[in-house]
Amino acid sequence: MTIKVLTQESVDHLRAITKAGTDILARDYDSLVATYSVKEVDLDVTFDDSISLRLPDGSRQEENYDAENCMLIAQMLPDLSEINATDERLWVTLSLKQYRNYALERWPLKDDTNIVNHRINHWFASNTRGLMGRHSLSRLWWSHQLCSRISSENVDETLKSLLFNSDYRSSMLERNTTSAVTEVVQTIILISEEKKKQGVLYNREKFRDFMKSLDMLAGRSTLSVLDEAQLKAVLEDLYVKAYS
Amino acid sequence: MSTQAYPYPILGLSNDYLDAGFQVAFSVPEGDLEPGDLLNVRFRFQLSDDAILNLINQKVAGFGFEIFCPGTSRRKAVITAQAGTLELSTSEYIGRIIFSPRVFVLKSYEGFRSLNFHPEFGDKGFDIAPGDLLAATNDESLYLDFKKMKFESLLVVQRMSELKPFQYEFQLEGEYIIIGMGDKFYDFFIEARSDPQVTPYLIMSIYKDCMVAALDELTRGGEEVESAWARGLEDKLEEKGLALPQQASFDELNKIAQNLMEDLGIKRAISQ
Repeated sequence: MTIKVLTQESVDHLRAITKAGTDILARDYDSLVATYSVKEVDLDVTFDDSISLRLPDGSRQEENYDAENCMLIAQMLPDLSEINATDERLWVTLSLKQYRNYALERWPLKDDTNIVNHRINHWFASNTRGLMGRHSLSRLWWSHQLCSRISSENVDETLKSLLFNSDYRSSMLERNTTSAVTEVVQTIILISEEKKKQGVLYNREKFRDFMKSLDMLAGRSTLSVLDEAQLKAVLEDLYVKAYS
Repeated sequence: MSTQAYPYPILGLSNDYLDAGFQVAFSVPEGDLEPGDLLNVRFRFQLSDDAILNLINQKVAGFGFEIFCPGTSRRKAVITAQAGTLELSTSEYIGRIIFSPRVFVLKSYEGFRSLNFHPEFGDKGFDIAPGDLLAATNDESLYLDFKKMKFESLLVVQRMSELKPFQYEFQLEGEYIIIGMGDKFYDFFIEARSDPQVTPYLIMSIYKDCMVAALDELTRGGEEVESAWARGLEDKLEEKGLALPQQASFDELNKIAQNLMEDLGIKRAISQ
């Protein structure tokens, strides 16, 4: 089945009232449509509404089921192209309507949360950073997509490697220097896995140091020019230095 | 890029080289594209440094482009001949595609030097590694847009009861610019805009203010410049032959905004 989505004008209106302080999640979707006269249009994207996302059991990485939900969201939108996946209307609608409960459970308000920023970050996605890193649903689809660029036959395993730690994931996927170059992400995962087998376990501070040194290198060198062996040699050297 | 410091000379950036140049002629075909079509970009590099040309002939270096699409988060390098056509599938790109013309180092090389180096380098040689740049010139960018709209249709006035009754504000984060108005202001606006005598004054005040805010956002170059309204506004500036300075003062932005609005604003008010 195809899907009805909010018009872009409606999405922008909902964003504007959210920024002005209205909590759009205080109403259910139908009430939102009626109250703010927002409109829907048909979007030619296949959507399997029989698929449910797994609700999180907690906030820790092993409790949020992100990897599992990345696989499910790809099944739910089986022929979604990257171009259609940049369409904010789709994601805003899904997070307010069909997967409202999932989004609320996965991104609950905490005592110190700024509600406006929270809603904007996890229910809207006006730019690439929002789409790939923050929106409650699009981040799952894009994580799946970036992993399928790395290994289309083994997305599940790649996702597990990437999502075992939220900091590791965001370090990798939320920087243009790395995430946009598939071979770089692939090589970092490979090195991390190899080092883990050698007893060098993930360490947040050391990994951040590694990523900083990688950013420095990317400032002087075009990493996407390097072939597999060159990239492995250069990145492994940085990794070893950061972990020494 | 010109402000970035590199540990080796690069032709085309600042004045690392004298009496040598690096340029690219770059052209894309006119006409609309549909998702999945092939985008053919023709190019021809011009390079006038024998030392770099020599490395290219030895396959130590190569002409090419780094291609980056923020919209689909794809960044890749393509090594090319000196002239030819790049074929890109539009299914992988949307929005801005940035082409950075380069001469890339492909293999390590020790003691690279050129007769055209600026004298400050003396006869020093440089060790260069794969991924380093020998020459660079300004980025070329093009916009893949499958649903282009005119700027005027991307300005939307809406009642926003969350605001104080006599206030209005602009929201620039989405594809549309939302001009939100408190209840009293909105009621006044709806009535006023149906009166042709009053409309030019709305244009000269609210819409002109909105234009200043939008121009300011464009000059900041943030992520919103990828949005539909920003592209529409860029087209409008081009139509009017107006250039937007990179770091514009309020006064400059205000004058550009007035220029954009004058036909519907002051000129119409005077002619009535």
